[in-house]
Amino acid sequence: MGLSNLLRAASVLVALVSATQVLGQVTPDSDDDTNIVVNATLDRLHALGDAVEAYRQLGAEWAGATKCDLRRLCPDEQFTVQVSSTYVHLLFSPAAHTPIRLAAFPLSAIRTASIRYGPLPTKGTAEYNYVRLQRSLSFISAQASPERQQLYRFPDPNDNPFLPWPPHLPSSVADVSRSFQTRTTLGEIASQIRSRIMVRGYDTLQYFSVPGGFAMATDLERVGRRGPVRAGDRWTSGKRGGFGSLMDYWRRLLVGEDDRFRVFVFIVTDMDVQNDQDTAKADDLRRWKATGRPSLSRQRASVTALPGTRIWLYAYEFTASRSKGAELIQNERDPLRITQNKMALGLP
Amino acid sequence: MTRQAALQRVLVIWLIAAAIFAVFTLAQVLAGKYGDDPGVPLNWLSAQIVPVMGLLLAATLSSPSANWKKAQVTGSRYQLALTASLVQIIAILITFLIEPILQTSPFALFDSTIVFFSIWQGVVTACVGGLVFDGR
Repeated sequence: MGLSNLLRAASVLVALVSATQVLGQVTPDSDDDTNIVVNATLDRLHALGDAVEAYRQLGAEWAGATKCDLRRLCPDEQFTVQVSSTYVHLLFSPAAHTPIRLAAFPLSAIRTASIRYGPLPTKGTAEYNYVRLQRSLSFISAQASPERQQLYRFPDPNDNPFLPWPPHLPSSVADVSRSFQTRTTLGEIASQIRSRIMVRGYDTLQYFSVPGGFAMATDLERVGRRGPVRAGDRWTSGKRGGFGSLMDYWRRLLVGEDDRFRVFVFIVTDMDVQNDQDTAKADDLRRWKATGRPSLSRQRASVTALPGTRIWLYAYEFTASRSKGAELIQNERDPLRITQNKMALGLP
Repeated sequence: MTRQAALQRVLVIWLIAAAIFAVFTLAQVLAGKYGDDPGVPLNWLSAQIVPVMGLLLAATLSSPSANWKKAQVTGSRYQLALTASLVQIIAILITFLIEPILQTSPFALFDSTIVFFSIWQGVVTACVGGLVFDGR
């Protein structure tokens, strides 16, 4: 079983049904930490988000655990499988970037699955756990529906790149599902959103994969605090110069430019999205711009949205720091209300 | 016009200009215009003002002879010191006033003008020095 299949299977595991349902039993010696996932996650279809949350809750346990980096056993350097005493953690580790947590799930499921597969190697803990993982996941992945496998698949070269997950803490967020028809394919949902916001000038969009769906992000947009900005300035981020009135000139002279900037991210998924605690940084904006694709991949667009799919509008608002090394910082002082952001997009 | 009066006139012009620029820059700093780098505009401004102000204050605080004080100033030296000073002050003022309408950041503007202003500051100091030391 190759690494890519292994990781696909891992994603399926956390998105799939209960370990109890799949394997017919639960290890009786499951500890409390394991129960966080077994009881709250694996018997639900929103497993990935809950698994990540469980991973967070296990911060203290993680620090004390014997970590086992199995990268040397994995031919693909982008992924790391770490095994602690109770959990398997899957990390996506792009070169020169901080690893992104993709999933965490209990070893108990693996222990249980191993019962069905004869003797395991005993020469090393790392290899032992790795083989358990392989065997368990290959069995469990066979139980997943093709659509769910598709949408919970790990980054795939033919698919859109992953939006860092969970998403950064937004300036404001809203459920805008009622403005769109969600009982259709993801491609159709993307088309509905695109046609709705294009008339408002949002003609450049970046598409990403997210667990259970996709995300689309608009370009960085300048928003004037006092009246609209000129069309030529709307999609720029540097100092724009000029002035509109004597009062405006005086304010620029004394205080400097104080424009707002914002990025909208539509997240379409069947998961209950739980945000990261970190705010978005200028680097994140650059990364979104650099890695996003201009359209949804054919394979993802053709998949029918999973039951319970909702459309979330994330608004990230920034201001430019006025220091010498000017950069965009998330505006936590006086962000726009979500209703103002929805109005800008033409949403009710 | 006596040398003493000419010197005092140039000093007053510089004192008024320095006070206005200092208050204005301080107001900008307090309003947050320069974010975490308030030292940059203050450094730039002090480089334009401190050398000539130091020379003028030293001349005022010293005790020249009564003859020097009462002697008539050489017209060309006075005109030169006054003109060079006014050019410098107006150039500083224009730099501040034009910055908001440029697309260049104030920091970049200070960086790009500091060389020219420093050279001109040397000229101003020489002209004012000619006025101060003439006949002492």
